[in-house]
Parts: sequence; C-alpha cells; structure tokens
Amino acid sequence: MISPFDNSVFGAPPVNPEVDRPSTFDDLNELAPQIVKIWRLKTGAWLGVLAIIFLVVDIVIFFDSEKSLPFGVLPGLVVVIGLVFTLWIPRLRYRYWKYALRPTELVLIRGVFNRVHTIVPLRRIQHLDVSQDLFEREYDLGKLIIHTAGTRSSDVVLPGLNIAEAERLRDEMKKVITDEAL
Amino acid sequence: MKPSDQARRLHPLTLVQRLIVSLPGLVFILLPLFKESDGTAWFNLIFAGLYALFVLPWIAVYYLRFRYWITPTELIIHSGVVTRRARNIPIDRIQNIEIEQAPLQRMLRTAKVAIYTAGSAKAEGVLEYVSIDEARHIRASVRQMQQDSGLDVPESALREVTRSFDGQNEGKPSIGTLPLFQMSAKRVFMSGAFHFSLLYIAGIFSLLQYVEPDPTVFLSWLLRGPLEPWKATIDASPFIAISVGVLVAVFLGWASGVLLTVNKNFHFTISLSEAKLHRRHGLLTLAEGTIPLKRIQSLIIRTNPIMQFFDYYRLELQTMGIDLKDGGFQVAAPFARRSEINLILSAMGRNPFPSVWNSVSPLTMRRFIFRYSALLAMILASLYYFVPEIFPTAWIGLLVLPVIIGLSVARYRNMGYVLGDNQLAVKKGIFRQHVWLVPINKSQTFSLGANFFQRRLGLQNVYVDTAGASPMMPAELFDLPGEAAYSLIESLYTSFKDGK
Repeated sequence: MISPFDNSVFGAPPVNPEVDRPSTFDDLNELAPQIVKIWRLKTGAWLGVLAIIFLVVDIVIFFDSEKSLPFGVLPGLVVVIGLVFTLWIPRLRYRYWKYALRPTELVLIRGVFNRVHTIVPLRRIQHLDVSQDLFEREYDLGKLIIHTAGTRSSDVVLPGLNIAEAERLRDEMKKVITDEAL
Repeated sequence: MKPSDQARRLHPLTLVQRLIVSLPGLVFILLPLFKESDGTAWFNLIFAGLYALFVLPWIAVYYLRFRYWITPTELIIHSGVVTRRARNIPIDRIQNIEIEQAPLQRMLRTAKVAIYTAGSAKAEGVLEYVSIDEARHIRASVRQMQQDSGLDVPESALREVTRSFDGQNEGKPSIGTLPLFQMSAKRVFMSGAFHFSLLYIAGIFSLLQYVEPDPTVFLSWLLRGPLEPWKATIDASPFIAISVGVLVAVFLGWASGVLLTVNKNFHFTISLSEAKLHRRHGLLTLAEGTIPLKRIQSLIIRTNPIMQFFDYYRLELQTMGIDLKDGGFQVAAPFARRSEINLILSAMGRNPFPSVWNSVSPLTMRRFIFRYSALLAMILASLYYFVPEIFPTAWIGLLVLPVIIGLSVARYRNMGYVLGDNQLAVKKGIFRQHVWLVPINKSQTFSLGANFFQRRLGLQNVYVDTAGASPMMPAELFDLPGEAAYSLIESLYTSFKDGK
C-alpha cells in the first residue's frame, strides 16, 4: 500500500482531462447565450428579495442600542455577494455547460464547482418534456427534461435551448425510445 | 376493457376480520368505563354507540363496493365508500406480488395481496382479504399473462439458471422446488442476536419511561424476592442504579430485537423456478413473495466488521418497485455465509462475490483527512470564540486527529471496484459495509463527477445510476485516478452498448 504521506502521492501529477476522457465527450455544443441573461434575471430577483428582507430587518433594529453592526452593512453584504452570484456565476455556468446528441446517447457536461459528465443512453429514456417558463418565453428559449428510471438521474434537465432546437432534440430522441420493460 | 361479468369480490370473511380489527378502537373509547364508572361514563357509551353505528355499516358497504377484475392487460380495482376510486394497473407494470398472512388470516385461510409496481413506494393495489387459494391464483395468472404478453425477456436469465442447476442434479426438470437458501432456527436466532439496533433500545427506554418514570422503583420491582439483598447496595449508589438501568434497557432492546427478527425471518426460504425467486418467511405473520429475476436491478451485499469476522452477510435485491418495508430492497438472504451468497448469485446467473478488488486513489485519504481536520479546526475555533474558559481542556479535541487518520485509512481500504463480465462491483463503508453488484445492462445513466479540489488532484467520482437505487446510499465510487475513471466509464458504456 502506498502511504498517504508519501511525497509522490502528495505531489500527484496533473491529469489532462481533455486528453484522457472518452471521445464521446469531445466536440460538444454550447447552450444558447441568452440563457446567461435568464439566469441573471432569476438570481437577481432572489437577490432583490433577500436584500429587501435584510433592509427591513436593519430598519426595524435601527434604534436598538445593542445591535452589533452599523446600519446598511448586512444589506450591503448581501448585495455584494449577490452581485457576484448574478453577474459572474451565470457566465461560468454557461461556459461549462456542454451537450451533444449522439446516435445512441445524450452527453452532458455541467457544473462550476462540481463538474459532472453524464451519458444518458437514449434507450433508457422513459419520457421527455419540453418546458418554457415566463423568462424563457421572453427569449424564445426552452428546456428539455429527460426522465429515466434511475434515482439520481430520474430527471436530467437540459436548459438554455432555442425552443425550436429543444423540440428538434425531443423529436429526434422520441424516435429511439423503445418500450423496453424494466 | 372491463368484463363486468367476471367481477370478483373479497372473501366474505373479510367482514369478520375487519370487525375484529376495529375492536381495539372500541376498547379505547370504552377504556374510561372499565377504569372507573363515574358520571361521565354515559358520554363514552354514546360515543361507542355512534362508533358502532358508523363503523359497522362502513365495513359492510366497503365490502360491497370493493370489486376487482383481472383482464389479460390490466388489474382493475374499484373501491371506496364516499370517495370512489377505480384503479387500473397494467399487468406488465406489476413488479412484485406479495401475499401476507397474519395469524388471524392463517386461521381463516385468507390472505392479504399487495401489488407493487414501478415508481411507487407503496403497494399500488391491496386486496384485503381474499382466500389463500385465490391469492395464489391471482399471482399465478398475473405471472402467466406477463409471460404470454411477450414483453418478458427472461431467456438469458433462464438459460443461466438451468445451466447452473444442471451441473448439480443431472437434467432434473424440477429445478423450482430446490431451495436456494434456508435459515435454520439457530441461524435465525443468531441473525437476531447480531441485529443489534439502537432503535429497539431507544424504544425500550421510552417504554420504561412511560411505564415507570423512576428507574429505582423499576429496579426494586425487578429485584424483589431472592435478589433483595442486592437492592440495598444498588440503592446506596445512584451511579450503580443508573448503570444497571441502562444495562437492563440494552438487554431488553437486544432481546426484543432477537424476538422481532425470529418472528420475521423464521423459516426463511428462498427458491427459484422459471426465472422467478420465491421467498417465504415469518413465524406469526407468514409472508410470501415472488420476484421475477429480470425485475432485479442491483444486488447489495451488506455486512459490518463483526458480522464479517464471523463470515456473515446479508443479500438484498434492489427492485424497481420500492418496497418501504424493507428499506427499498427485497431481502434475499438476511444472514448467510459467503459461500451461500455465492450459490444464490450463481443460480441467478450472476458472477460470484468478488474477492480481489481494485482500489481507488490513495489521495482519497488525504482529502478525507483534510476535510475532517478542517471541520475539527472549525469546531475548536468556535469553541475558542464562544467559551474561551474551557479552552485549555478543549485541546483534548486534537485527540480526534488520529481517529480521523485511522478512519481515512479504513475508508480507503474498504473502497474498491471490479469490472466484471456484465457487472460492476463497488464496495464501500467502514462500519456499514456495502457491496453493490450493478448489472451493466440494467444501468440507466453513467456519470463522472469531480469538484474543484478533485479536479486539481486529477480525481473523478464514478457513478452508474440504476432504477430504484437508494439516494441515501448510492453506489458511487469516490476519487478514482482520472485515467482509471475515464477508462472505467468507457468500458462500462461500451459493454452497455454491446449488450442487447
């Protein structure tokens, strides 16, 4: 057994993930760029609600002599952290979201902190949904939801597709769905 | 399609059984009457009368309203008194049919039939109660229709089974009657003895609280008669009194665990015929179930260090219909030797329990140590901040460090995987050890995952999702070296594509 304190272990050689990984993960498509705006709008709305709550709390305790922080610090902090999440994170999310529909599988790569590569074999698809919420309708985008019988992957969501593209993908995948009993 | 002329009803004795089941409610209402007859007793009597007025007709109307049909494609159940419900269960969606007989039903020769389907945690259809012959007939005819419908593809499994049995008894066709695994009374008792659950102990504690809030009074009751001389010694020291109380509760918890296990697993028998596993068990309540082999997803072999030391394991089958009673799994062997497990596996056409494992990257120890040391440091730091006066002694917290290191090594050593012929075996766990045997052709999705730190160390997690997998205990492999993870996923997916 290799000791965990062995130097050769501590200084593990860097791996080049692009070289070693299965070829099905190469040459993937990007999402529609408008999705960044939608993510920003959604996170921004949450940020607004949160900031207002903190502001109200701050006003309520304004005359409280025992408060530990000066007025405006908490809401300000929320706004600053929130701005990072609304401006920067959606761009990173967009950068790392990749997908491709292959003849026998759907391939996804996603995640900023936790990067996940997923292969969804098309013959495992139970059913497919295309959905569009209020924001997405504004930008003509939609998301494709792929249901499998698995637990963790019982619904795989592919967001940020042009609605026409989402419908094309759905129709393409529909052809392959077999009624294989479990 | 509803051939109404074939409508079936529950067994008429259902009326009697439901009546008996409703009696405890009546007793509960009348309880104050038995205790003391004061002025308010008439109120309870009226209440009991109302109860009878509603419950008795309800039982009768429920019985009259309840009808079911078995058509070649569906099982139809119409039920309900106020809210009427018509439920159609497609025959090929039925995963498991369980027949259960509590003592009362065994006396009356009736049974409860529970029908499980995919994607539901509860039994989708429950027939309470039908005659035992009717129960067996329902099960047999549903299975027959499933086979006739041609959707079934148990051929490969069937072939495997016949082959492995042919080796043992030359060409005997009656393979079904041969039990794969049986538990002797001694084995059942031992499995209960090993099944040491804190849950029962907690239950006993709360019961003791309820019965007698003062443990010393309980003790004096326990130590009456010849044990009397001990009482003075115990009374003298509260410490001894408490320890004896705890010991008694632990013993009672353990003993009740043994009794419950014996009641549940008595005469546990599992046998195989026509690509179906048949399971029977129970002392007071007899349960009988059939699991078609092709519905079985992963197999899970569980043990703990003590059980492993004595070479005992538990084999569970992950099926599509999530049966809550067994924690989402069907138990195929509650307490078996490794060789016995291997026999069941080979009869099911699966590879034996692997004995040589590939390990994950040793870097996983480093990550574990870093993660939990950081947690420890955070706890110590907050202790320092909030209660600085105890801090000199809080350094004892650093003694946890060697424990963390020890655990990280144990965790690394117990984690492993083997890619076999149409099977991925994954092993994990320090105290609760799990081995998953994931059939590759049953996989749903294949994923690789790595967080920021893992990417920097070139590590990847590998997870193969299956239907009915537990979200709490997923068969996820942590911290494989990047290349190993990539080639594992590649070969898994290639073999998935090559298989059917």
